[in-house]
Amino acid sequence: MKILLFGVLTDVVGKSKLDVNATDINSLKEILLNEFPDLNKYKFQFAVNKEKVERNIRLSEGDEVALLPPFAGG
Amino acid sequence: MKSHSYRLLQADKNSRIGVIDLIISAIMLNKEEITRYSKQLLLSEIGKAGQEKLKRSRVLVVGAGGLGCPALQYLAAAGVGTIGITDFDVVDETNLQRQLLYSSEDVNRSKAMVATEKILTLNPFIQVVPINLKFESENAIELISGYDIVLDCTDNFETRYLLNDACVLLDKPFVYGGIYKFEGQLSVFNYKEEGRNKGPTYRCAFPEMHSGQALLNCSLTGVIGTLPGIIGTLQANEVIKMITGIGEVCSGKILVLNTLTLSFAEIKINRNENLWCDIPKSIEELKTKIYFLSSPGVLI
Repeated sequence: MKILLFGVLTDVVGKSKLDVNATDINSLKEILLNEFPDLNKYKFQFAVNKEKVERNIRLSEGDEVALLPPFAGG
Repeated sequence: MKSHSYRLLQADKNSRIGVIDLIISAIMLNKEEITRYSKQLLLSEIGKAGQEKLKRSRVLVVGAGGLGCPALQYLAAAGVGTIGITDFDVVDETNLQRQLLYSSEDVNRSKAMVATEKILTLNPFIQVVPINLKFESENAIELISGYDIVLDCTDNFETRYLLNDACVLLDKPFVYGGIYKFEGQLSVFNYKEEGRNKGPTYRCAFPEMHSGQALLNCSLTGVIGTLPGIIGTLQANEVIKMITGIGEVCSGKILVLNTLTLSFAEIKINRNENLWCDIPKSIEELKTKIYFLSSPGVLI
């Protein structure tokens, strides 16, 4: 599934899009944190198919998951 | 005796006329304003009624930096009747690349004062209130209370959470703008549209702050100058829409702009009061809450 990254998370991962398969949000988070441990330094939210999710939900192959951090600058 | 009473009556009548004139001038457009705003008056969506709503409105801009400068220019030019400008900082040479209200000769001068002078030159028919103070727990409620809409043009998470909490307690909508290098975010929080439920707040989008992330501001990460110009202008645009009641307000979602790929993404956000546990329960509680922490990694 397509993973979209924004802001500082793009800097951590080195690109703004990833292709990762996971069964749910928790397992996706685990995979990403294993591969990019520096993601642990930042707070960010998950959105599935352009809607923010508050809990662990099942993911399907065609889903698009976005990792959204807040932006401090102004 | 008769003539004395007559003079008194005349004076009373004149002062009454003076007050009435003042009231009329505060809510109605004069000839010069009708010319000045003619291109907005031509828009059937705005017209005279919308322009008078702008004139009667009061908007507070918190932060006169990258986002605040363009927002202030467009709000002033559009004819927002009263604009408050909160900023305790002075103009720095490194601001000039993106904060276009300021010129080289303004370096080291108060941003709130310079911004006030500049936008009053742009539009002398509005009222501008410079507030050369740091926006803090102790004064947040007092500063926001007199305004209809607030703009979050700040450059740190602490002030953003404080501003959110104060607006929630005072039931005011606020327009959030945030930037990072080449990317920007925009949303209208705590907005109630007629016939709909109230929209989400900043804490519904980002429930808790990680102060380690607070270091990611423009002065440390760098920022492309055009980005705050775009996001700040969009913030002013949302304000004009809310005041005049036109279009669809950017509530219930965060708009994310990437200026390098010129792509816009929208993330839907739901109002969720279960995420509000860090919002003070009362104005008194907010005034004593500590938002500004120095130790990194502490959640508030």
